[in-house]
Amino acid sequence: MQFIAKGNELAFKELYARYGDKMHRYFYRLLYQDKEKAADFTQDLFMKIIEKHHYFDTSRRFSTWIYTVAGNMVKNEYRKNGRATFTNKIPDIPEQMPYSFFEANQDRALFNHQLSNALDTLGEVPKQCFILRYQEEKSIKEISEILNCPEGTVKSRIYYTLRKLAKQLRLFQPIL
Amino acid sequence: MTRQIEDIIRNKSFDQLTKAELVLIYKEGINEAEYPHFRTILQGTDVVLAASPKAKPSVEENLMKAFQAKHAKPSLGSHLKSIFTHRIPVWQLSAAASVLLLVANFFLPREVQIIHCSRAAQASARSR
Repeated sequence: MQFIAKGNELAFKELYARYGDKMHRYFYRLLYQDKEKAADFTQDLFMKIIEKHHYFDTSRRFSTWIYTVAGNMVKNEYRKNGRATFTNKIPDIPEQMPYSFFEANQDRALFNHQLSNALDTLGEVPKQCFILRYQEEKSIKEISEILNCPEGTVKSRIYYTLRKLAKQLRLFQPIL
Repeated sequence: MTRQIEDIIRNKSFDQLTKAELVLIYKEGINEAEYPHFRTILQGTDVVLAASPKAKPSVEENLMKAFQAKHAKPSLGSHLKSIFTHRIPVWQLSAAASVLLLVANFFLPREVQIIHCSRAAQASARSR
């Protein structure tokens, strides 16, 4: 960050190489798989780093700080738009679906599609916990620092989210 | 749930678990019936989340342009130009003019008086 503040282009390039795609994926997942919005948010986030690098708290790890800033941007977006406008309902799957429907790889593809949609229906904070854990592969401690909440809360949120998803998608279990 | 437990769930079916692993799983509150559901979700999550797209190259291009613009060193010409084209609010200009006038009115007569006084003092000293 010090090099970036001094105008070192290579340092900024390196920072983008490390975090650009990561932050894009993070926004993509948190903003309901909207590619355009994810791109805009990624650009805005790095613009903040260019323009307001002095806000970086040097006592914190950069990776924690950048995810906190990104999380706050997403929170503001949720507040601006209201959660209801974003919420995707998981399409209903008939209980008595013929097995032939799941032939070949369709079962896995359908399951993945349903899981992806189910992730979108999660609440703001559980979703952030889940994405940070399983997409960004952050430790519980890092997640608690990013979200500014106790480690125990993070653990229980992840556990209950897994349980919720398992319950929502249990229909696939006998097939997969 | 620790990474160790997550990896056990991902990689082993319930009947493949050792006694020690079973203890860990039960400690997490996951029973035999729930275990395959957790397994399916964890395995599926890995696939689904890995499929998230990368950022467009145009994002990086725009950011590099912004970075260069922010840190570009201004030339002498642009410095001079900025001096002559610098805009000042009217209230600031009028306030500055008023202050200047006040200062001029306040100080100038006093200087004249001081000169008068000093001349008078010199004259009296001479007469003594």
